[in-house]
Amino acid sequence: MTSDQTLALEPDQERALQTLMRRYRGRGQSALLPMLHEVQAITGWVDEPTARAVAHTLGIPEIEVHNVLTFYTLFYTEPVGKRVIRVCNDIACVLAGNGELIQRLAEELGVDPETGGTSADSRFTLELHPCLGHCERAPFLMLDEEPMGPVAPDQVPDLLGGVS
Amino acid sequence: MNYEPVLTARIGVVDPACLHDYEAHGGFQALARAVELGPDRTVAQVEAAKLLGRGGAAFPAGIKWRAVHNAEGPKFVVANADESEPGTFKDRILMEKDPYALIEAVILAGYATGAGKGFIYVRGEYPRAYQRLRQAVARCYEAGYLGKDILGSGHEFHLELRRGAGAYICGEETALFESIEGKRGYPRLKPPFPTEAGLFGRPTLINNVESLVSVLPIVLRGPDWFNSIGPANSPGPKLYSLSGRVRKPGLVEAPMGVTLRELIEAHGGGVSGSGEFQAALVGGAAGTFLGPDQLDTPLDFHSLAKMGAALGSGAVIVFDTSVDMMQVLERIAAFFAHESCGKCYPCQLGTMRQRDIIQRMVAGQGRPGDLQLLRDIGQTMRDASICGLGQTASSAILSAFELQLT
Amino acid sequence: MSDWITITIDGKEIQARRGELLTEAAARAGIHIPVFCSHPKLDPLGACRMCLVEMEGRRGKMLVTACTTPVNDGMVFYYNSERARDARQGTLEVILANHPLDCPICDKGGECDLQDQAMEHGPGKSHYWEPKRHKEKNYPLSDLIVLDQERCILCWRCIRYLDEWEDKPQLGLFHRGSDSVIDKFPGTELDAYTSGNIIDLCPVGALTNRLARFQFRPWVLEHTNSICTHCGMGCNLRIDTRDFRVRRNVARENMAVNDAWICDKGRFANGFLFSEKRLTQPLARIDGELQPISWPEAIQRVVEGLKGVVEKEGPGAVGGIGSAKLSNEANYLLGKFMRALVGTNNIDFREGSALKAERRGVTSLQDARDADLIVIMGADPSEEMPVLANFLKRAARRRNAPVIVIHPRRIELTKYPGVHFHPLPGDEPALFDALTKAALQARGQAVPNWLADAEVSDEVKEAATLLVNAQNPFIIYGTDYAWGYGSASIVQALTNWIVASGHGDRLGFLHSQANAVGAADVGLLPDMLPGHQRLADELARMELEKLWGSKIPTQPGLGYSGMIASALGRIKALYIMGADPVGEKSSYAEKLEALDFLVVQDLFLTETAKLADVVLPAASYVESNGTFTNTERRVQAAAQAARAVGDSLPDWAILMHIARRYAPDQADFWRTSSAPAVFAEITRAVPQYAGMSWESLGERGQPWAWDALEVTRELAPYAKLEPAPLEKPFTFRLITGNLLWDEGNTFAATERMANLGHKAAWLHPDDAAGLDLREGDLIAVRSREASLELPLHISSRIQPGTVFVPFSLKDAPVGELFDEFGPRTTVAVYRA
Repeated sequence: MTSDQTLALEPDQERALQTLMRRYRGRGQSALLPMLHEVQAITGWVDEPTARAVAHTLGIPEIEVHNVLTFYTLFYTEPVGKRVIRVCNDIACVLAGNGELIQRLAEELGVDPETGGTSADSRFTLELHPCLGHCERAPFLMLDEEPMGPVAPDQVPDLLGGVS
Repeated sequence: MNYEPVLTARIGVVDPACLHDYEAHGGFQALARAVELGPDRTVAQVEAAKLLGRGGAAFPAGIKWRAVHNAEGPKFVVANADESEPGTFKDRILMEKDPYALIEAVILAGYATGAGKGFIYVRGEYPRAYQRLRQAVARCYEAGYLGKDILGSGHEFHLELRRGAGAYICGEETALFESIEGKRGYPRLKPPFPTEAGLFGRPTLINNVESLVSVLPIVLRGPDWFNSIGPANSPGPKLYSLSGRVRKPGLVEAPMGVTLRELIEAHGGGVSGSGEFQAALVGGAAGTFLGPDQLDTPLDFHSLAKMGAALGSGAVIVFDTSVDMMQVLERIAAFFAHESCGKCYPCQLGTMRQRDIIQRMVAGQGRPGDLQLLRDIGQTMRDASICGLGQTASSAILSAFELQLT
Repeated sequence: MSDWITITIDGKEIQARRGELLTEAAARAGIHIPVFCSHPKLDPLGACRMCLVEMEGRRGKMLVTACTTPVNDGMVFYYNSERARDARQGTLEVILANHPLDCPICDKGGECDLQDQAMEHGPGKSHYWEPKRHKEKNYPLSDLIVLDQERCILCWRCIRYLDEWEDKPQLGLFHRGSDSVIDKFPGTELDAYTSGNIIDLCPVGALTNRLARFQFRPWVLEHTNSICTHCGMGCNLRIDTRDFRVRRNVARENMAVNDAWICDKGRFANGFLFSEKRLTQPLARIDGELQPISWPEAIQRVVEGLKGVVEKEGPGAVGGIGSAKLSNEANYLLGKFMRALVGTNNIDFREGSALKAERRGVTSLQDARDADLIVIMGADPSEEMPVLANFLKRAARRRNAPVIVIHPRRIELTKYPGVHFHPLPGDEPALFDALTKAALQARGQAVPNWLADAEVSDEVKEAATLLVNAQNPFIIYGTDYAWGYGSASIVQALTNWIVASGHGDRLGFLHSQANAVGAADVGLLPDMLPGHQRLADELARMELEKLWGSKIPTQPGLGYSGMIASALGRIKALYIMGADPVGEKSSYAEKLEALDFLVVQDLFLTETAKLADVVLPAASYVESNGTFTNTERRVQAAAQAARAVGDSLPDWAILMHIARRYAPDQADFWRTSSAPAVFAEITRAVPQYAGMSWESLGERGQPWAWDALEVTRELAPYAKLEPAPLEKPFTFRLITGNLLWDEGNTFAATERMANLGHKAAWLHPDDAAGLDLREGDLIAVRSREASLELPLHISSRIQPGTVFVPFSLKDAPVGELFDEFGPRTTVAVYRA
């Protein structure tokens, strides 16, 4: 299921989105993933009207956009926090004791450590992620696109506090 | 131990952002050499080197190169940089630290096969590798390594970067094509194979990052040099991603066939935690566990295949005796249930049932017959699934039970 | 034939066709390899893995999917090997482990592939303990179809059908792994016109018919082969009844007609059959009110009423109007009755003599599928004949057939590459002249003087060249160009183009009514005898007189609108069967009221019936036997499937009763006691039907040959078309046309579909902006004749300067607006 909510965009985000739409006009299905990456870089997640606009911009059926949005875990059809923290929850990081790290992050953000979630102030979304491919730096996390590891639980307050 | 790294020689030495630095460290010499040799003889070098694909399937690269070289009409080269096998990080380090090498290799492959366009499909969770490559591609266009008449060869070649978006299945080559085409990453039926009908239905050469980068020294130093390293039936240098309970986890370049013991002791600084080796998972979640009796196994494709294991991507995750292996199996089962694409029933439903059963066992509610049930599910997935994901989704778990690790 | 090869399955050699799929080859040898995702009408997918067999390969035996493996000579397969059996059984077990097994309340129970395969290939018991997953169980995809995601086994047939056949991909797979579900884009409803076919395709009970849900268990249904009468395609149906009542329509395969598909109107819009509003007994006007009477009394009144007029005013004062929706038998007997017993040629139907159309319809429906070029003129197959539209879409997508569209609206088929023209009403002849000239030039032929001034644009040249070079074009025109004011000129103009292109013999007409071809075949026309023989043809007349036992008048009669118009004059009595002129144009009421005697025979108390002296309740086509002739001249049988409502009787039977009472001395010529017997008589009256019989029509019907009727087509000048004047305030050109979801009597009677119709007048965005109108505003469309109030729909599919008002809108019949320019009048548009 997808969210009934819609995006509330700032004027500069609207403008950026419009520019993007012009750039992708008529480029067809093969441009769908690159376009969704770029859309999300502006909006954070993709609501229904935006998905529809993407379909119309590329000239593809609407259903194709949702087929793809719901398949790939880096695309969101529901609101996410301003920043997304992806904590690796795979073998090497489990061995390196990521449980404490996750516990600490969940406590700070007030979300369920078993499933992750978005903090009440919508600033952060915590995600438990399959292997992020940085096993030599376990326990590892990515703050949006910034790789961090190994991260000790007591670094968490600084990590969250240092984010604007 | 006096092996001198080749694939990783520039790592930590060159500035990954700097094309000149790359050129100053042997960059684009392989491409120049290939242009001297011409496409046909370049392909012959790859064939003679007996390079086996480094992504995990160990398919002879030369066969693919020759097939695409011989194919008519528009064709493509694709670098499979969707490295997602748990425990594997070799390709990421190559791309982050030596991005031009991959680009050179793709251009070289395009020249040798006659493809006019290449794609590098970078895993979505590797933003840094993507940024480095993006910058490097732009520099290569400026410098004339991409575009028209590359190095005076008359060959025109364009390269486009694509980002994955969080789907393990897209490491499967045909699912990766679907993803580039803007669709869900569902594996296609084979045949037809990519060399006949791949990306956009055209003949396509698709190789793993490490495989492509391995071609550069093959062309420069010759296939004989390549064959002089490692065992005769799976020769060459190999990258191992070493992690888990070792003192020095990290990327290791060694001759193919290094033993597990040597990898852990000499390169990894020995087992950490309890200090006592319990097992290693070789080949990632899709791989198999090796126990203490198998520490002297050479880690090459054929030696492992003989014992029913697989080298896969070269990931080695080490477990000391303090690790509760059921927890590890739970992670593996959860991983496959999360990543199964859902196209075929055996994998879609099998991975789900496998996870449910393991989780029940972890919760202390195991039942007699669970092991047989897991074996049955495993057999169905192995025999009936469309692609490698389902076919290997039970191998690690079943091997752990074989070794009685739990 | 060299195409036959030998393969081996389980040690047994079998013959197969080279390149066919293993599933097909095995089936012919009696080995039915189980499948879920595979379907003969859909592209192979290979996802479900139920059809795994072992194949001997270079590196030993390997498991392959039989549904995607083409066979070649010498291939060796093992279907019953242990490994293959285990793989299939294991796959089935994981499916069953998640399937809810709510078979007792499932509409599919008894006709479910999963049940059948569990029976044949299942493990017998499950060794899973984990709970089943939970998903949406009652998830409407539209007003017509509901999805049960738990029952769904993700075979993708529904997804693939909508994509591969209708080219409207509206269903997708969302999420992944075991969370995968079939779903639609949020906030949308499935609105593909043939969406119901996915119910037939679904191998389990995941997709069910919302209108028929929970009404029956499939095994209690009686099946009757029938056809659909909503349009001229004649799609083959199976009508399922229980307790003599229609429960559902499903598609019946006929490769020559509808393949295995029907549209949603044909599937779901059957509410008219059991509507509360059906007439159940004869009515007669007594003391000014319509009151129930008995059949004998009703027949007596009809006979007396007609006879009284004939005696007083002569037979020329009587007329009969039939219907292109009714059977050959009904229309034939009405014509026979009027000609042989009353003695008049005043007979017609709405799309009869007024239609300037190719009587033979289209060359063949198969030609649409094989086309290398598609030419559509003044027709909109997507709205008028959705299954044909799907064939055309496939030709466009899979055979790369360019699509040339000439239509006042940007119809759906304009989404395919080709050349598309949108001439305004009145401008069509100029376009066809240009195309004709370009075609002649392309073929190096002389351009006659009267075409010298035609202006050939690049697009015209492109379209003309495409047609000249086409090998197997499918060329049709439709009612928009062939009916009403100016149609004679337009049809000649377009005929000129097709003749000039060298394809004169391929020009076909898309009959939008179920039996428009048949009604003309059986001679319900004022100037033509059965079999398209001219009234003046003495020999033909004599043959018929022998068959009918009486003289046929030689003076051509009045047509449909002539009869109605003359109701104020020389026409004093009308027998109207299955037509509703007043519903189409309310001002006809005062004309019909002036008649001395009016009989209406119908399913419903229509606006026309309300004026009648006698109303006769007719049984629907489902409640009687009958034959219908579709737009490719295929005569098809629709057998009685349900019991007639109330005291209603089949049209043919009513006419027999009336005829026998009307002329007892002629009773020998009115002895046929069943619809098949009437059909047998028709085959003697209609030369093209010679040799056919009710039995020989069988399940597939029998077409009469395209060249069984000679039609001469020549390049010829024609009368200039003077368009209706554009003068204030009448500054918009009116456009009409059929939409699938209309609000006509037969459709509106299915209450669950009531929301599908969109009552609106359509304007181009620029025009709407110019008038400061918004979507949904109530607007008035006024002609010199009348005015209609309608909500506005703004669409760029409409040309600026035109307003589109579809036919059959409830309380807003566009016919009200027609003046001497008919459907091509000019109108004023303003805020109501």
